[in-house]
Amino acid sequence: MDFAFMAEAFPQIVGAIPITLLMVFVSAAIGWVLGLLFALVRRADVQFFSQAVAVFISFMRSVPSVILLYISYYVMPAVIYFYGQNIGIEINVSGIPAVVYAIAALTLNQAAYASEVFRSAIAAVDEGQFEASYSIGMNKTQALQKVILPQAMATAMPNLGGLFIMLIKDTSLAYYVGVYEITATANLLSMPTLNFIEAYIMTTVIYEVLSFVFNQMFRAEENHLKRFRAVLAAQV
Amino acid sequence: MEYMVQIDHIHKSFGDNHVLQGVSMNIKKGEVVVILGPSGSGKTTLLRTINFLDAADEGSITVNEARVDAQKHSKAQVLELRKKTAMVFQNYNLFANMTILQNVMEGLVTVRKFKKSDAEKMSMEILDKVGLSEKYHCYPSQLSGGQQQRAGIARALILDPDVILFDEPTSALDPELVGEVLNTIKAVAQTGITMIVVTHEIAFAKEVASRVVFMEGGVVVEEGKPGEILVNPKEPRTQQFLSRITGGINQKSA
Repeated sequence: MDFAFMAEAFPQIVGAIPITLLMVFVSAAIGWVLGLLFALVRRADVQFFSQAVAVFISFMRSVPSVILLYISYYVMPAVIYFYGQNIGIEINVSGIPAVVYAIAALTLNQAAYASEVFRSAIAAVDEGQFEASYSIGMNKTQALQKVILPQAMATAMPNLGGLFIMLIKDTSLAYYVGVYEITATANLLSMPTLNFIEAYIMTTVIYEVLSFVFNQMFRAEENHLKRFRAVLAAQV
Repeated sequence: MEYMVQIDHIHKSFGDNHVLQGVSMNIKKGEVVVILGPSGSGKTTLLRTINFLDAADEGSITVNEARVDAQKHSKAQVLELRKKTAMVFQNYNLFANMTILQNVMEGLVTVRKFKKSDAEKMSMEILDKVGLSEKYHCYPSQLSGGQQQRAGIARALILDPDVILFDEPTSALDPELVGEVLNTIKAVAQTGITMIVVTHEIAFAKEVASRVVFMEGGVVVEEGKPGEILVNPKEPRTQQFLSRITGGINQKSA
């Protein structure tokens, strides 16, 4: 073990945590909102949109994340460039940082998985809750907002927590398109002296700690959301 | 205005099953109508077509001048109709994510746009009336079935509806809890509010109903004062049903 290398490299790898978390937070925030919208569109059975969403989800779930990332990174710039030309604007696509393409790919990936989580969580809410809402004169939006979604979120929370942890790990794929996040930084630092084992031990520890912290946060939120249920709390 | 609730030639099918085959009924303000009938007779479905939880295929429903035609209506009309009615469910259907107090307040705050403080005060008063003063801040899952159903009645009452629809309100309760809920419903009936009650509680019907309707096979077989229908039914189908449910006690005493 090259402890001198570890002591020197560790702060730099830790320094890459913010870029990893940036990808995680932005992708989860946008992806989950999209996912919820997709779930509601499918539930409402809106003509054309429901089918389009179903196809999108099935496509997203069958393509490996890394391929999605490559498509985003190599195809999107060309699309954006030609679209810009079409409407008469010269867009400097090489000026867009790689992390944007990584976030785009991760966001769509999250949207697809989160929509399935939300769909099953909404379906798990008893139909009688809708009926009671309607019986006191609520419209559909009020029923969803006040009664159905608060209950569905409690059901969705464990799966969202799982998605979130997967997302943290998936950000390491951004390495392939040149984003200097945790894995990329560790790998590059280890190359000159071939200290790969040390580098991977350090990244493992960092991912473990991140997962642990966010896992605890999701458990706490889960317990808060399902306080109305007469069952035991999840172990924190 | 003559009638509070007008049910006009309602038809309803689920697939090939023609559940309601042209049911009509006019109900005056303050009447307590109890609907009896064997299971599958369409009585619960009829109740659910009144507030359009099940949309009828044909016919129309009018509650205090809000008329909804089954074949031609807007969402706004259905919403208007629902705002004039309230329902008490067999399985209580309290909002699981809200406390008892929030359950009762919800309609006032979200639908009627009351101020929260006013809604809270009114809700507490009504919860006191149904004997749930100690339970304001409990969640439904922490209450017994009887307590949940009384909260369900409070949730319906607070909206001051033109008619309250009771869908087998005691059928899911443990036998020893039926009494407390029936007493609450009796107290509600005495306030002069219009009620339509689907139930199997014959004794309750006798005591509270101003009219008893016997349904079978998707039609009204017979209706009249509880003294007539329950003691001296004319139709053989009503006689059969009552003798099955009471073990023939009524026939002997009649």
